[in-house]
Amino acid sequence: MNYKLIGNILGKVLLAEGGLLFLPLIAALCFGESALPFVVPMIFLFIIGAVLAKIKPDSDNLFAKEGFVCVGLSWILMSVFGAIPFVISKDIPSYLNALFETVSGFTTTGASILENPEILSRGCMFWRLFTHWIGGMGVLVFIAAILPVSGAHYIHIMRAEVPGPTVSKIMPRVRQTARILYLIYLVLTVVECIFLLFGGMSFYDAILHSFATAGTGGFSTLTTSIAGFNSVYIEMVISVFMFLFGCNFNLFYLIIMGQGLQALKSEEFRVYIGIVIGSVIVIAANIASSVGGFLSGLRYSFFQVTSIITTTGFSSCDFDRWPELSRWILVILMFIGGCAGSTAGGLKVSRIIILFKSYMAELKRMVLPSRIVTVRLEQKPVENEKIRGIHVFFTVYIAITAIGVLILSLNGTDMVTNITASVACISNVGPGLSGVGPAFSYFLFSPLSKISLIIEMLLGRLEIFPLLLLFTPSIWKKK
Amino acid sequence: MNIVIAGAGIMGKAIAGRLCRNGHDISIIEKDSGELNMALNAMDVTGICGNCVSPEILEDAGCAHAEVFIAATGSDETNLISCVLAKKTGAEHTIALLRDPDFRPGTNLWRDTLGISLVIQPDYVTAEEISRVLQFPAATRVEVFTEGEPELVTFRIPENSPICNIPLRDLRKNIRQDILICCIDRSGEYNIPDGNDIILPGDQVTVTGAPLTLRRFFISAGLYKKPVSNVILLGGSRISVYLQELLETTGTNVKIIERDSERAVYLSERLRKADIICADGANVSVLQENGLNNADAFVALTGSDENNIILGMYAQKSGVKKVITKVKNDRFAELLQDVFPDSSLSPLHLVTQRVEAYIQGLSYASDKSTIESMYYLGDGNTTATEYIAGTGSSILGKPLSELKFKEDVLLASVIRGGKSILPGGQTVLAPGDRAVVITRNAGIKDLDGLLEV
Repeated sequence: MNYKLIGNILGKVLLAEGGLLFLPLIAALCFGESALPFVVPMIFLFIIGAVLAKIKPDSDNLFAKEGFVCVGLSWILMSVFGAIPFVISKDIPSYLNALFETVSGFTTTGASILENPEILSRGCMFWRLFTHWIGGMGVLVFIAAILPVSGAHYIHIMRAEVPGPTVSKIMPRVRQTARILYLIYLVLTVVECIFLLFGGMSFYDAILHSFATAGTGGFSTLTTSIAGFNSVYIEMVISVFMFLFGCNFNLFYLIIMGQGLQALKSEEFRVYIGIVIGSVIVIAANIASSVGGFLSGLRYSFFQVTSIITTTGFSSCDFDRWPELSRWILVILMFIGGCAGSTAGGLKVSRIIILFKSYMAELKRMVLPSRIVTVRLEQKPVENEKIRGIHVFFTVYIAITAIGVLILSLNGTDMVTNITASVACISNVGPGLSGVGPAFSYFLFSPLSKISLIIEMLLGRLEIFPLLLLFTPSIWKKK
Repeated sequence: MNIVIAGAGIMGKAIAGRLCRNGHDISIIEKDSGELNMALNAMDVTGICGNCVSPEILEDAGCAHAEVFIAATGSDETNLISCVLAKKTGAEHTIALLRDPDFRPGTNLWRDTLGISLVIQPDYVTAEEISRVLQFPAATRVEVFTEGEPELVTFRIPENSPICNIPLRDLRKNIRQDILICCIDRSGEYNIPDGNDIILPGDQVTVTGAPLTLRRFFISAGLYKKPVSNVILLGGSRISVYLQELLETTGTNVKIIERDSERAVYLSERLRKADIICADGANVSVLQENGLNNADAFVALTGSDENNIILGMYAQKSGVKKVITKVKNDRFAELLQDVFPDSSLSPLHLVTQRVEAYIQGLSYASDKSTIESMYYLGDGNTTATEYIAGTGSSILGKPLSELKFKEDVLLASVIRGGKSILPGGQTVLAPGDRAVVITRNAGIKDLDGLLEV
């Protein structure tokens, strides 16, 4: 294990976080609030970061193992420091609650312990939604984009941080790839912000909601989330952008390169859009009678389906009051999640496609055992290794969700609450059903439950293994 | 530069790694997904799994925007076809590696008929290198710049050599020859020396000079050895064929030991002057029987690195003065330096060097200078590069003593009208001069890059 290099990279991560805290600091100063909540953690981050970044690694050898450890530790450290502003400003006095809120932000979950987010100071509110934007694309990718890093091995870090079963470099170099990704991310965020300004949002609200959409986070400045703006235009703009941020970013790159048609042919994209359209229509029909017609059913279902499948978690109405069918479609969408290479959480559409196809292949083999069946994705054969990896991932994902439910049951809350809370956290959605529905918060859970949900959120965002490996003793052994 | 490389075998990977470090953007095409993944994990490159003769795969790999396409798969035909297709797809320059000796080296056929910019025959390149060393056995390596002058010779300093322990500034007075010491390798530490440095026994030293002066220098330093006259080649591989054809012209007696009888018959048909022995060279008594003790040189060229190394060691122990071993894989290069202080040769090294020289030449051509050739010294981080001065360079028209050079560069030689001049403080460069520059700095693009800004 190359400890020195890991230390060096962690130092850079902390420095980057310190730098990013400048934005909420500016926001706080603009609104005439105290600068203290941001200056204190910044001092910590800069000092510790500078010391760690000073470490000169003996070699820049970095393998899959170091990549996982680096990513896992970075996210934990970032959350630990990121929670400080909430505590100092006394907006969220309990450190555990602040940590929950921060992890929920960085992992783009959007599960909140705040019953009335309006009580937050403006600076802290800015930080709370800005964490979505940082976490969406990932801070280590950000570092690759701005700082000189040895590219040869950084791919292991990208692989551990970027969601999806495989990372395809769109450019030959890690650095260029990271830059293109962040550029697309930034441009889409700015465009959304402009659209929202046209809808009559204040600049502050528009920029914060753009952050939350871009990272597919789901925090809002209002208790009632997007419903509070009561505007069809804003709902539509946010829906469309949530949908876009749930797409694989490589598709945007293809479109920039003038290969838009090829982007539309992507199998994952087609399945993704198919799931969205299908769910929107079924839910719209299902809720039509209770919301006054199919058209307004479409309005609510389009917003909610895009919000849930991209694991954002905004709400434009209390979907917990919808009929059972619609509610459970939403729960299934939570599991599915967005496309690989997007900012969304969940299992990812491409994994679902491969799982489904490998089941079909298994059935064919049962009928005729000597038959060779090749599973394909995007017309290309998928290696057995990869299929096995995805099966393992799926199994572990379900197992962790189940363990989460078990721990939550200690609270005495009902089963729907426990199951959906666990799913909503590991899939980085945010709101669930019943006791954690859009009208409620995670405030009442016991400290143990909160810790287990924090772990679930991190596991979900980092796709389990980077974090899980940190707790595997053999990885720390010198061999 | 955007470069597409077909094939992630030993060659493909080495070329990709080298070019990637030089700052080029590489994408690799490889059929075998395991090999490809290994390459992708070790280097900052992109990869596509597929057959490089498929136009779609070439398109996906970005051939349309590539400046250079390099075909380095194990099959000659695949390399040729993929180069032609890559050119059609839009790659500006194509480089093909070819192995079959029936594809004659040194013709323009490939460029004229198929539009392939550069054909490299790894085995031929290796044979050339070996034959140069056999002509100059005191050296471990001999490189020739474009017009045959000057040569770049690397050799090992023996114990009690008269040139040891003298500051280099005094050395030239002692030996009175116009040679320049460019690089000293002291057990893996490479150093471009200045006047204060001294040479120690055991150092590998690289010198430049005109061929005649160099020979006189070697004689005066007590290092000169006559060209070899009796050579044993172990293994009738393609390199042996080329090597024999090169040695034939110098009147060297060559004995080739080949195990496979069919191959031995082919060799005797193709090579009229060499003695072909059909026997297992791994058998020590076979070597004795064929006069290992009387041979001037022993060259191990079998397909197995292990055999080459072991038998090379045996020949060394038996008292053969010049032993050259070929190793496919350069993973053990450092180790071999210790075992064979004389010469171990890796075709990999030679090919990468050719490719890099060509690509440097393409990417850094300007009105200031163009790159004509380039050689690695030792570990490959130190290079000797031959520039042709253009008209726009600010290095021209001033005596060298008035220019401020960067620390890790050495202007080793100037070639004007085919004659090499040892540069001194009064030397003034003119357009069209060829300058040989030794440097450890990979970022130097042209002659102006030698100067402090």
